[in-house]
Amino acid sequence: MKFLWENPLLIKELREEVRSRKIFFLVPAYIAILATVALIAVGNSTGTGFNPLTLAGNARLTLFSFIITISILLGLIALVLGASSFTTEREKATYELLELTPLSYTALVLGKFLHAMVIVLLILLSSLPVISTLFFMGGLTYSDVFLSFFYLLLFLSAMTLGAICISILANGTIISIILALGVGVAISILFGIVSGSVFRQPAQLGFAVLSPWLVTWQQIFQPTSLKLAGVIFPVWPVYLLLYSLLTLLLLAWARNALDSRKLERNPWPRLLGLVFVNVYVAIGCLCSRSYAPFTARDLQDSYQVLMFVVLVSLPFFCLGGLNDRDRARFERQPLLESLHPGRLCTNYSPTGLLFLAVLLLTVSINITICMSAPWRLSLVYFKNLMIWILPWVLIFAAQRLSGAHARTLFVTYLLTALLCTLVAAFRQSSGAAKTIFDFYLNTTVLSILYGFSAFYFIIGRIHYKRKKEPVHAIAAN
Amino acid sequence: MAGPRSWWNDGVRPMIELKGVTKMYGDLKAVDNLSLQIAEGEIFGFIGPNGAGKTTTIKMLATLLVPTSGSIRIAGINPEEEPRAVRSTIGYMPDSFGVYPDLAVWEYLDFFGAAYQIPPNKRNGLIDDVLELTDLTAKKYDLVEALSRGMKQRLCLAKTLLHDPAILLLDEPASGLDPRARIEIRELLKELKKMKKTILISSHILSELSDFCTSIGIIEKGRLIVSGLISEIESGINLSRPYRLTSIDPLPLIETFLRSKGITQLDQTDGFLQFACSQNVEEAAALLSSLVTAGFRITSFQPVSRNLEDLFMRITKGEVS
Repeated sequence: MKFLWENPLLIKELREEVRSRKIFFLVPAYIAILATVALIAVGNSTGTGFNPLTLAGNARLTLFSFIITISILLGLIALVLGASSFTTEREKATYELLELTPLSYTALVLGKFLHAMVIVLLILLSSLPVISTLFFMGGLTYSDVFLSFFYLLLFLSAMTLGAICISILANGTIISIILALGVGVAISILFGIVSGSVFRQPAQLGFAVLSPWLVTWQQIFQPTSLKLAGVIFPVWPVYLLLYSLLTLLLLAWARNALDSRKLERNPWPRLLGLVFVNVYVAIGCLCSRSYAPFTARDLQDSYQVLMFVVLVSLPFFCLGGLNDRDRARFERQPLLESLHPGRLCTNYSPTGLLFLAVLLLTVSINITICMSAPWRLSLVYFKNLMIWILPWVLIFAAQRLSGAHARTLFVTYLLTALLCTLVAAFRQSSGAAKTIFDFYLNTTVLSILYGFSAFYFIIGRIHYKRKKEPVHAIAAN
Repeated sequence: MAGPRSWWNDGVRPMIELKGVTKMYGDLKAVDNLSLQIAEGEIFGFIGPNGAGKTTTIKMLATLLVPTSGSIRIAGINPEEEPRAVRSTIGYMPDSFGVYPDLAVWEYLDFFGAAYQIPPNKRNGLIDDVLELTDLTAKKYDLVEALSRGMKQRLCLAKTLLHDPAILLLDEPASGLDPRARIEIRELLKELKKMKKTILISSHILSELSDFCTSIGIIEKGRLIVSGLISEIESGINLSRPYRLTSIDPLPLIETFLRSKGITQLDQTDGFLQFACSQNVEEAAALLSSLVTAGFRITSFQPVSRNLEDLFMRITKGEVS
């Protein structure tokens, strides 16, 4: 642990932070907001007479209000600190100096991450006196407060690292902060929807366990355990496991993104991604099976969620930087490089789609085993998924061959996906589609998609042949 | 023209070695098949117009860019395979750099000292040493934001020297400075020369380099046109040497006489006559003798010291990539 606290970047950041004025304004403003929430809650709790049960219930509600308020305030602070971390270094022209020190990329990311977390933790600790007043009202235990803070801090650490990742990719601080806030809001809405679904279907708890608000609510009002294949687990170890994996995944990814020249090929993001997704799916499916026996509908729902996730994340598996030598190698042997088993788990973008195939295969096997579903049925849904993904693979491969920039790939994907969705919506306007598979996997949409892939492939080959000669000339040097 | 020097023949260890290095930015060739060796203890002036590929080359040496093709060795290490080992060996000062304004000068150096893994018990002494070398001791406890631009430049140089690198890569170290700060940086570089550092210094202000460079390389449109010792380059391109004379007799008469002797590039300004003569001093002595024999009363006859600007202008065409 010593290397964490002796990280030179952390010490430097803290020295700068304590000299800036913003921290002196931030803490009083934060305490003032919390105190206002406390005043409103206590004011509402005073009825016509003294009732300990009412007071205890209000203490729980006030603590939950505090957690929501703190998660919004500290979430904003964590997002802003994370999103401005590397962009400000680039804007101040200090990043090159930082990069040239023997500090590893991991140490750089950790330095920025720990700085943001120390600030967040200090602000959180400053709210303890306000929160401690709740104990006068009764009805709360120390573990309620401790676990609520624990859930919140793990969530904030993942948010901070996510914002740091955005900061590594973004060109400017303002853009980075806007993007990070946008992603933060989107995730909050998603967690809100998933948390709401648990109240209707408790079997969904395994999938919703990532929501900090849901687990906090359950801890304060209705302590619940997680049932996985009939075995009862407390919620916090599962939450800790998932968030630890997520934090490590983001850390590994940020470290790779920082190495823009790809001098070191690091397998950790893909391996951790594979483990995280499979652990999450296993927890969700096992929990779901514990509440009710398997039905074909459950399997279909799981594959539809998988298809939705793939639909959103597909471009990210083929984006990512290639250095000049990688590009020359890829343009010489595109097929062999895309299927290179030795580079499957490294951060090598040509093998991204192959990695996606491996990921989907392991998740499908995982779902089938955890749900004890029939293999034949699972295979049908897996085939549907592959029919949908294959044309995208061809489109991305064709564009890579033509030397298209990552941005072009992304725009092509968005436009094609939009076109497919519009056509599908038009065709299904009669209301025939009941599932995502029904919606997208119809003849018209698939014809368009495969037609597009053939078109891009031909165009890509023409571009490739035009560019082939100079690339080979460079490689020969 | 003189080609790349081969140090291994002299038994001197090359500290910086580039072989056929090319760097492409899309379709633009920023550096084109560049080969170069710089020996230990050498001060190498990297000269070229803006956009010629100097900064790209230095960034490739500093592990900040990867060459499209070709190979680089820094103190025998491949920067692509062992970037961290190379980073410990080099001190890089970029042409435009930032500072942390909210830190004190000693904190700024302490941060980089810690980042370069200098043990805390040695760090304070080293910080004092580099502050003394860069003449910033009096500013040790001042905030960086309070320093002038010249002082910040010296602070960046102090940071570059902190981990005692064997190789210094200095990209336009005096750009944007006033004359006094420029002279101070030049004096500092002379100190570093005495410390036997291998230095690659780029500049397009050639008077900065002529004082202390042992060798130079001239780059234009991404190609290294010439490299080697200044004297080698001069003889390699067979430059004539300018001479200047003064006389009691009318200068037009002397000019006519010199023209009859086949001397060209004659120029009369401010009471003296300048002309281009051979590199060979014996030929110059014979010319002086013929002038005296012809009865001209010569009061002074001396070679004009040529600077890097002349050399640069003769070699390059002023094109940029």
